[in-house]
Amino acid sequence: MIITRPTSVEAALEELADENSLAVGGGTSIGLMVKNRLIEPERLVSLNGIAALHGIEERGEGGFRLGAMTTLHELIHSPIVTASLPSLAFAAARVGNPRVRSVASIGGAIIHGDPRQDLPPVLLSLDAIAHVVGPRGGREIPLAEFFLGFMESAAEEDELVTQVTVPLRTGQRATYTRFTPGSEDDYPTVGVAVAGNLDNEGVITGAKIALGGVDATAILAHEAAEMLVGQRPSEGLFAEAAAVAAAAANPSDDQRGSEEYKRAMVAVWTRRSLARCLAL
Amino acid sequence: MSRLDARAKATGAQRYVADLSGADPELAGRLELYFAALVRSTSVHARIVRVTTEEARALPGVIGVYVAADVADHPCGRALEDIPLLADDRVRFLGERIAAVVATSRQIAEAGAALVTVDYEELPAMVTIAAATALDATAIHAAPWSYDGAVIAEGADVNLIATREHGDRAQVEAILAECAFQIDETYRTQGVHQGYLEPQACIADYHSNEWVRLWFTHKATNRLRTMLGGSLRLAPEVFDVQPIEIGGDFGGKGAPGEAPLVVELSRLTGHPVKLVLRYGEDLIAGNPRHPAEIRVRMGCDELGMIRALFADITMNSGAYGGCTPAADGVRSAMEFPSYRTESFASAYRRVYTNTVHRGFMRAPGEAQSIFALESALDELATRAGIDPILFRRNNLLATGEDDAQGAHWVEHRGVEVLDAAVAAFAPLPVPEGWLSGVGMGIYSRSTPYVPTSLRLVPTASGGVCVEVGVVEVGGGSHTAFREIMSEALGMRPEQVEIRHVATSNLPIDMGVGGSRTTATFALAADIAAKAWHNRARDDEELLLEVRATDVPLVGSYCVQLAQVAVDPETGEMRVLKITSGVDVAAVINPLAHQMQIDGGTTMGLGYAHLEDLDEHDGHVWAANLGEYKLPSVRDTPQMQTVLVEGSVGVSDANVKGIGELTTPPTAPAIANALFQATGRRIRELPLTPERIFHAIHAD
Repeated sequence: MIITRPTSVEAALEELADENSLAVGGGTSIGLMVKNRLIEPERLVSLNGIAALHGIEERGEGGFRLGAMTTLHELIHSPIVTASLPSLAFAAARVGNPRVRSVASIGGAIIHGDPRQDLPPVLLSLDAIAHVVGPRGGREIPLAEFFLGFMESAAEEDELVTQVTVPLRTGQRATYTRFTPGSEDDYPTVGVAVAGNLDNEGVITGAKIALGGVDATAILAHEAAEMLVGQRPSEGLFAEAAAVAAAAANPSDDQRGSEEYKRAMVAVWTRRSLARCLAL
Repeated sequence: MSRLDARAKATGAQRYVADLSGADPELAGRLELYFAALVRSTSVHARIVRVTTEEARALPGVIGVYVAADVADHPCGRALEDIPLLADDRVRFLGERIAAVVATSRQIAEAGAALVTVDYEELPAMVTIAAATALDATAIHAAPWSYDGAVIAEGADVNLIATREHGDRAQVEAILAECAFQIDETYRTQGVHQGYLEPQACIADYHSNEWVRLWFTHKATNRLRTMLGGSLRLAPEVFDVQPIEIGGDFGGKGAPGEAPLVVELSRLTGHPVKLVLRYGEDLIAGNPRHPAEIRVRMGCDELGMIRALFADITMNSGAYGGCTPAADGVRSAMEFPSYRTESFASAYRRVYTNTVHRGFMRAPGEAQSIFALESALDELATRAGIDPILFRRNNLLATGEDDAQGAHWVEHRGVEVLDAAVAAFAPLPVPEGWLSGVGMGIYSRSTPYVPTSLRLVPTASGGVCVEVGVVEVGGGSHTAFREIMSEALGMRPEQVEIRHVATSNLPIDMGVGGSRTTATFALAADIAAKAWHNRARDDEELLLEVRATDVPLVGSYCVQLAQVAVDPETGEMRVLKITSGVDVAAVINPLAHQMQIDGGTTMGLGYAHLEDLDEHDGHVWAANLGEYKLPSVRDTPQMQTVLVEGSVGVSDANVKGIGELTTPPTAPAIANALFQATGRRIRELPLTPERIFHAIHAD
């Protein structure tokens, strides 16, 4: 296995045209896959040396641009992210350990469609958009259409995620809850991201609920979120929406719990997250 | 004093078996070092129809592919010799060795192993004790009584490895019937791995049937020779096991493992051969802790004094029984330490199942039985309407009393240790809306000692080099040895060097284990010091075989208090605090002593609620350290230690064992705290959030 280090997106794409090549960001996911022999790529194309994939920008009405190679460490310590996208900084700070966070990238967190990752539900709740380029040109894919299934995203093998953009939502409130009732160093049993707005009358004008760890990939609980819009926050409303979110989840049995338990936890943590995020 | 091994470990300079290469002096001048990889069963229980090796043999760099017919056909084991070097006609657990590929590099060996195909004819998989002992169960071994070291008679119940009974059961039954309060409950524990950092690794360098050199992650190198000799039909002295540090043992590095096979691979190829297990292999095919089912019937009188106890214990040994130093396995689970009772009996079975073979792990047998017994004590106290802590205090043995097994210790300090722990414990604040409770667990253990040998070689600078057969497994035993020996000889610690030597250099040693390593050395140091001072000449070296006699029977108590907080809506449990009261004689090295207390407690914590190989269908699902959750620093509670000094130890150094004292009480202390918090009793480990959730929401 060889590792190459192109310095431009074009050069990287050229290398990725070879089907035995695989792009690698921080290597925390790819490294595990290679170690566990799930994949055996002949060539790893490191994206770390491509300046265009780095950087965090605030673009006024244009929202926020996060280069695909932005590390979790950079997200946590960025004044822009901590001030304007706090649920993203919060989630990033809870992934792995300092060694992982210093190399793991936001692009890597979304590219695999890994259901256990923390950033996908947060980015879903924030209406983020993945910018993808490949030999057939560039595409902008809303994250709501990006996660296709278990370890499957809309980016093709010969494509790269160059950046993630997050639209500006003035007055938006957002939270992320990572439920790890066993070891804190485990993947979340359930991850719940909530974002929404209230108007001056205290009426919910928009809401998103996204779930991690409880389906083949990160999902949006559309129906539950839509129930909230036009309503005033209340414990009863949140409990109803949480029950609908739980019904939308499709968890599988594993060491973290049975399908039944995880579904019950979606209800608890969606209700609690809504209360934390959207209560008056 | 800081640990002798600390610098090399912290800087990465310490060498382990996996680090040794053909370029190292140990293997200089030998033929090229080859590498082995194993083909392991992907079936839980099956007849092997065919092993196809042609493709692997054709791979450039592959030296040979070996199956059962190529290697010694006598099975191996520590006492019961029932483990084939390679599975012959049948695999009995998922992960069992079927074939070995030897190649010029590890990568090629592993690529070769991936090319070997095995055709199976599936047999009924009996993963649980209940399935394997059912009347119509398939025999996992056709004639288990025929193995060398077997302890059952021909025609014994299906899948039985050993059975033992203690005490007068009829008497217990009669007294139980009279008891004012009784409980009859069954407790279950899971399979857990020792979790050492260094996976098992072996290099064998076969010279001839007279001389085989070996580097192996093994805690008792002298005894390893007997295991190798038994399987390979050679005299133990043939095997010259070389000294090398071990990256953690926790009981798991005492079995023969892959060593007999690697010796055979070296013999077959004529080259030294190296095998390093991937950690996932160690998780699925090591020798983890026995899962247990323990039924406890216990009764007390109106005042809460224990009158009768019957414990019925069944241990799931997995597919083989050869990983424990006795064929009956973890029989110490039959004991009832710490408390007095008018009558006591226990029954014990060890059974085969189609799961990974089980071995020893820190407090083997006791970790399982103390969870059951200390949970049962709590249940009986509750039934009798007595505070469980007071109930224990009233029933703890006092100095002068024999224990339930009839043994007589020099002293019993359980009450003092309990009082000190209770006095020192102060609960921590609990998150709003969470339930909280405090529970207790108690364990006591005697300090054994075994024969050993050592050589004292005077150094040019007027000091001494002490050659020992005890490997440093990471607990700091060599540091303690140096302090004990320097004290015994009247030297400064810097004048004493402790050196682990090859098995050919010393006649006997029993290795590390049983919380006896320091005590055994300290007793030897007393004798060595006398002989040292009586030498005729200052440059004379001494070889001593030590069998200490007239040593008083001493033991230690550990009383733990655990505080838990529980989110009733989710079942999430946080262990907030564990206070450990420990009675001590002399503490040789305070840092190493504290590490044993904290490490043992953390291991108990993992056992209580995190660790589980998750092998419900015979597959180990937690087959990597991402899924197998050892407690991390973030998972450890506040830990408080209360040392109750003034106890009696052995030897002039006045020492007692500590290594296994703090693991067994932790899980029951947490389960008992969970009961105090929620009013719900969970009798099965681990105490997962889901089990707690269902217990709380049962109605």
